[in-house]
Amino acid sequence: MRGALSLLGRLARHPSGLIGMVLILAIVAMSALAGILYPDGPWTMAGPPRLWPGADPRFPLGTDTFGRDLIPALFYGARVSLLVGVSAAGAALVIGTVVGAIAGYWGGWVDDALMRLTDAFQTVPNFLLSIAIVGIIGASLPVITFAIAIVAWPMIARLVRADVLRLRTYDFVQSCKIIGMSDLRIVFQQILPNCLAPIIVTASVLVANSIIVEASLAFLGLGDPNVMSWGTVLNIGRQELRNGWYLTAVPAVALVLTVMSLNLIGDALNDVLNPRLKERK
Amino acid sequence: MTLLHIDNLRVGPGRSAPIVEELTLTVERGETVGLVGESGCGKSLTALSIMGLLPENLRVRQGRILLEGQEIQSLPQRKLRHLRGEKMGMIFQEPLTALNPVMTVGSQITEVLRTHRGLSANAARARALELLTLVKIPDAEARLNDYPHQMSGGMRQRVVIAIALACSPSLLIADEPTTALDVTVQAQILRLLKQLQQEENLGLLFITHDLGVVRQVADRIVVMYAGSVVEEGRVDAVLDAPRHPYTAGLIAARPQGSFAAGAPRLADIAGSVPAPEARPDGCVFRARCPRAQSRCEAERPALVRAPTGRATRCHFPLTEGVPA
Repeated sequence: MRGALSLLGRLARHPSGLIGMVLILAIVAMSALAGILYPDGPWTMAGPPRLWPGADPRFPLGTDTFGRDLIPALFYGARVSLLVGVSAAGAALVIGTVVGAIAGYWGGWVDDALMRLTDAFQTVPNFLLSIAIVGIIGASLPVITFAIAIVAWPMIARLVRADVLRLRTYDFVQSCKIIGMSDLRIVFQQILPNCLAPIIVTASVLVANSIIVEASLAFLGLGDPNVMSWGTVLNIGRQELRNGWYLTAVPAVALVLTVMSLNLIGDALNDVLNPRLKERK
Repeated sequence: MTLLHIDNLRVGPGRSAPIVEELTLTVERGETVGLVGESGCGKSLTALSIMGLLPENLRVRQGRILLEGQEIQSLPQRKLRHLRGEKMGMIFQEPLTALNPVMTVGSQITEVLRTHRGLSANAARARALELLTLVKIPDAEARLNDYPHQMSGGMRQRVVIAIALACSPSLLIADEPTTALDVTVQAQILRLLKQLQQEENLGLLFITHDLGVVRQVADRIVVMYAGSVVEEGRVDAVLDAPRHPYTAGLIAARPQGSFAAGAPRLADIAGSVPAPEARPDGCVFRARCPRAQSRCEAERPALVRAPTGRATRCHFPLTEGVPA
């Protein structure tokens, strides 16, 4: 706990970490306040349709084809984006870490089998696989989360495996065996904490990536129809691209800022967690 | 009962040539045995076999390892695990990698105690403190919360020793424990090991390639070459009057400690240790041996053991007939 707090402190002192954290906090605040500021929800038709941003002071960002205000859409959309992004990345992280750790530590045929499985997933174009899964099972948030996680874990698995492969040759692992620790305990309690730094860095990029995939799916009409996400607005905007490009631009800016803030945090984490880079400055 | 008895051990991969063969070795309680040899002669592999930690592709092919009369290869994993933690401790060469970088020193010591002794957190911490004091770490209380990178190499090695001693083992295996340390720290660690060994009446198997270190700490010396024992005996007897040409060569190859411009150059043993699959018939040392004769080519010498405990594997040992 103390370690996590000091990590946040160090992040805040890093220029891009600070910008990233401020942005991401703003987006978290948006999703938290959505229900309070806009109790009517994002679907109510509040004004005239296709209102350009700035045309009416009541709707600073304009309205969509059904006269729905875009600001609540952005607020509620932040919820969906963050939810899907974090849970998909979390699931990918858990699967990838477990697979990678087991493959790296046990080696032999276990490693071979798990790595061939990983290869199999990596040979299929990621986005296509996600589309296929959502297309077949049907668009709902859990399915979308699953579809994103299932293509994202192989990257983590490879990363963790490589690190575990290196660490398992260290004497402290032998030392743990001599003490009589079980293999599972050695892997998950002793070795994995040593790979945390790259995992954390990758996690931030993974969240950003998941948000993009979710929006892309929604843009193609494969979003959950019952929730308002940034992708939903993008999808509405797609049909109006020629006469109402603002409909695409508004959620796109939100997406760009979110993804950028996560990438900035990832960069900062990389610097903060890497002792060798710290000294270089 | 003999603490550790290795009998005619052969270790190697499945099909190809064994890496360690015909290895016989004993360590008594309260005795320090120095296991000496060049890189690649099978010293560390011997240690790993005793610990039951051989890499997957290697196996004990023949022979027995007995710890207090109990054969360890035949034990099921569970029992072996228990035995390792309780009766054996190991000190590694690199104190940097022998400790987990992300855990405090204290938690790494208490871990052992809690796993094996089932001590409560407080009792384990008290014992950890005791151990750190035992290995002479100053300000032990504060050091418990240190991470390994906050300590010097010598300190880290003391912590490794403390962990090895945590469960009061009867056998301690030290695999080149001072190779990674500088000379002054090395002397301190050696003194500490020797003292602990005497206090706790430990059997200590000390693996090294440094004859000077062996002379300081060991009671008996076992010289290995290309996977088997070539000479064995009391330290002073072997080092003062080596019988195997290899031992003699090792002794001659020691630096004599002079920095003068005219000082004699280091002697060396021509050639290198043959790889396991390239070991010749006959005596494995003959290609590098100044005394080799045709008999050495034809017939592999056996390890001849004198009643004094002195043993030599050579057809034409040096100083023949002189009692050790």
